[in-house]
Amino acid sequence: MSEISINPDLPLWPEGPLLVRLLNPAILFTWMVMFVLVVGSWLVTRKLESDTKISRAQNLLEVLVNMLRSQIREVSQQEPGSYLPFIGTLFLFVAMSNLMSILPGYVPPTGSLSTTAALATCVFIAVPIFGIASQGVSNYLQQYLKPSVFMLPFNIIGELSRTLALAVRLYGNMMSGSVIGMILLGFVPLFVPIVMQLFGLLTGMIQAYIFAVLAMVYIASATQVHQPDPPPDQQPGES
Amino acid sequence: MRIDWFTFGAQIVNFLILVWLLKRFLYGPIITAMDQREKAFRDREKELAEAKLAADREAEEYRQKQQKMEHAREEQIAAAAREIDEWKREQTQLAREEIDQLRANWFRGIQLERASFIRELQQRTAHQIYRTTRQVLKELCDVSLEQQIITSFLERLDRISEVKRQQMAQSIRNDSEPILIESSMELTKETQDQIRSQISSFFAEAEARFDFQVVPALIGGIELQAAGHKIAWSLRETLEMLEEEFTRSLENAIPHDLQGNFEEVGRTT
Repeated sequence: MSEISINPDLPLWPEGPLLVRLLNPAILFTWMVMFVLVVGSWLVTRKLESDTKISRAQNLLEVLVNMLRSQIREVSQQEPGSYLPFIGTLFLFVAMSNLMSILPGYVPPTGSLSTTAALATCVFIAVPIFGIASQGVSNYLQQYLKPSVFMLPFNIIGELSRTLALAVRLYGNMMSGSVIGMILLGFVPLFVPIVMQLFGLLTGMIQAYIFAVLAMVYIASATQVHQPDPPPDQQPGES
Repeated sequence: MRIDWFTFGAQIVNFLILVWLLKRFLYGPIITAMDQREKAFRDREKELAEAKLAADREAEEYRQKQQKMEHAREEQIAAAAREIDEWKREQTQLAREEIDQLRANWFRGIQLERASFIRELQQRTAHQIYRTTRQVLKELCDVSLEQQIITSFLERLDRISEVKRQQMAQSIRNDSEPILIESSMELTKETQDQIRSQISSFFAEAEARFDFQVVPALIGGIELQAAGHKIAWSLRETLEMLEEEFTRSLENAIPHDLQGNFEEVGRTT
């Protein structure tokens, strides 16, 4: 039982048919989080008001979306339009996954290395897509050759390592929270696990923020158009 | 710490589906709603700004109109004040002229009344003097006043210079009209004969015709009128002296401030 709790990748019904055997808590609770997010959004946005009098739920979503847009604008120094669905969904998914851990029996999908690796891989793929869309293929690829061509392997290693770091950071934080909770439940079954759960909520929100902001930083660094180098005969400061 | 590759792939797909779903049900509608609200706010702000502009413009127009009205009102008040002053001056002038006219009429009336009064007084006084003198002469001297008047008249006739007498005689001779003798009292036949004989002899005109008439207005007097010449004796001179004295006394009795008016009216009349 404890094995299932700390590893959401294990199948729920190992003896079942093939499709059922493939189902594990990570996927199941991911669907649950997706359901909550999508249905909640649909319920609110199906009767939106453009007037000044709006419902509390709409107000909450507007505040949330505005906060996401302002954070994206602040970090990337660009308009958030094209980044919002990707970055916003990252934040909302991770935050909701961690927030729902207050529910009994819930195992956060972000405690699964497969899930966090999948999210990090999405970021790893999104970075060149946004970069190429913004700068073009050659400009984007030239970034790997800067400051000199010898830095190419290090740049590639850097890309990979930061993706790995994204995945492991989130996984480690969430998994450790679950593991510590399980261990403390064995030693001190009353009160202390509640405090740890509260810490877990705080850690979860912080991790969601960190994950989204880092993803945005990586994308922003790939999409920023570099100023062309000045001509050799023109000294800096000259007009 | 293993990666389940099926879970890995499935989570990538799940995540991409979630991105699409949230874009469809969350970001799109919310951003559209916010943009619409913002646009509504902007439109409202624009409308408010335009309304404020229009209100400012209207307020400015009203302010200008009010100023114009104030100016017009002040001008009207000034014009009315000028008209009132003009009217007051005209009315004052008219009143003054009317008062002057009334005063002049009043003084003229007084003047006429005074003249009439003096004339009447003169008449009465003359009669009274005549009557008194007649009575006194009768009682003291047993002399008739009429006779004395005729005597005085004839004496005055005698005192006429020779040159004058000849001129008169010549005129009487040439004139076809009779010699008119007017007296205040009825002359007896003897008296008329006495006068007739004396005048005929005086002018050396035996054929002279006489016409005796009684004129009470002469007041104790007798007059001869012939060919434009006139010889008379009456109490008139005495009465005129009396009138002069009376007028002087009357003027002394009138206050000084009214005397000018009397004099002025006297001049204008």
